[in-house]
Amino acid sequence: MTAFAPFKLPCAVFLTASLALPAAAETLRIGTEGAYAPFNFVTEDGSLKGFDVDIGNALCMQMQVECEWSTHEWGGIIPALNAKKFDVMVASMAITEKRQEKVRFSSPYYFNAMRFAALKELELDTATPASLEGMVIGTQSGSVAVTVLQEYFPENEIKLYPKLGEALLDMESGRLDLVLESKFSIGDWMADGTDCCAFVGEDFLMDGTIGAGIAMRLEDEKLQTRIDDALAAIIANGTYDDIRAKYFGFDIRSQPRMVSDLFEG
Amino acid sequence: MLDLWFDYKDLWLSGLKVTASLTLLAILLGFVLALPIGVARARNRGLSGVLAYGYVIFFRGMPLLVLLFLVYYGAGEFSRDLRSLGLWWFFRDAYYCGLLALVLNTAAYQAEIIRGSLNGIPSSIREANAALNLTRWTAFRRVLFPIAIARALPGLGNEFILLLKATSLLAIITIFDLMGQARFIFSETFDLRAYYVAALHYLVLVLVLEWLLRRIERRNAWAA
Repeated sequence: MTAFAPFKLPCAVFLTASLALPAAAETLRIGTEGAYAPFNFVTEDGSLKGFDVDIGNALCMQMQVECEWSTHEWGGIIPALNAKKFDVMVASMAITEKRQEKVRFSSPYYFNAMRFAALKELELDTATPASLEGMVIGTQSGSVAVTVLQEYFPENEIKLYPKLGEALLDMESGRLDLVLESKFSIGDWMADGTDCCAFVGEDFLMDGTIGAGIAMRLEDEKLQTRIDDALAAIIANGTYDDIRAKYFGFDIRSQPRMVSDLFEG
Repeated sequence: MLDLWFDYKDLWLSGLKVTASLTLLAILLGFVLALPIGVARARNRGLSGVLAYGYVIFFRGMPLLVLLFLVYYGAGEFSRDLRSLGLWWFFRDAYYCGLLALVLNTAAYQAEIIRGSLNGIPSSIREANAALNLTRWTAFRRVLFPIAIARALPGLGNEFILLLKATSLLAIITIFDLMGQARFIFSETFDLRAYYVAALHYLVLVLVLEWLLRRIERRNAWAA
């Protein structure tokens, strides 16, 4: 015991210091993935950037609270929220029925349509179950794209990656023929100077998804009202559009086509 | 927890098969590679000694996860060159890449275990070999090698069990082993029990492996 005594003092000082902070202003602990450019990503100097981050910060400003950000693996981000590692998730998560059993969502803050990207050498001009016969398709595990692939492309070999960047890397090297994911994220990667790959087919939304939402724990009903009010306020006062224009030169709040409409219609 | 197993029975069984086959192949191929390296380490002379030492230092010094990323995504960077060398079919496949990383890693550890047991053979046995006028090859094959392996078995068994559990790292390069299936089932259900089910599978595999090793050890007890 005595050996550890010298550590007690600085520890106690640190504790009181961190406890004193929230008294000044309420802190909102926001979690995100940090590997989903241009929505949320970690820059070379280690800071968190992206559309989600700007939106989160604007919401904090509107609600007059302090934002405290942390990043989490996509595969474990819902359990992390429910284990109170953070209180609000701004991570471009599509609102689905299955996820709504585990967490509470705000109203959607944009529509994140997905689209196929393929190796250029395949010279594809459509992306339908017939035209993609025998091809290997990759995406991020736990993404809504997995459900679409299972439902409409059950014959194809599907490979799942912990991070989207790894799937894109494997398409560039030729291990994958196509990647299905957010057209924004894939587009952002293409703009970075890779010319291996191109979009094919139309963009679409999974049935039953109603856009990307901000997630909270099921019991935080009051928090949802506050977030929804703040979201409506930054949309009304133009802050949302200023942020959107920084990343996208077009509207991202109108609803794209549904996948069933595309492949069954 | 049973419901979670029955709902995804096919996935669990196929994961079990992938994990078992990866472990078995990595143990066997790793042993084949480790044997000459271990012998060279025990002799510790000339170029072979230096090369074996270099191998062990390099691969024991590198975390398996780093090695895995280097083999898998590293090979991806050189896909053009590998294609022209006719090696891309191997490196394109995540299973082969993962197996290669496992074999390179475990061979370094197995070689050190073999070296230790060869060096631990009492000099009186070597003197007896000389007295019987056995050639070096016969002495190695009929006397030193059986004794060394029998003595190495507990250490090797330990390494095999560690290797079995290390295969779970391969899930991150898209391999659907037990861990890969658990991750997938978890992402479908958000049910943390998926990882308990995976843990139980690993426990069963470890028990089977332990039982096998005990049988082999008992058979070879006389040699040690």
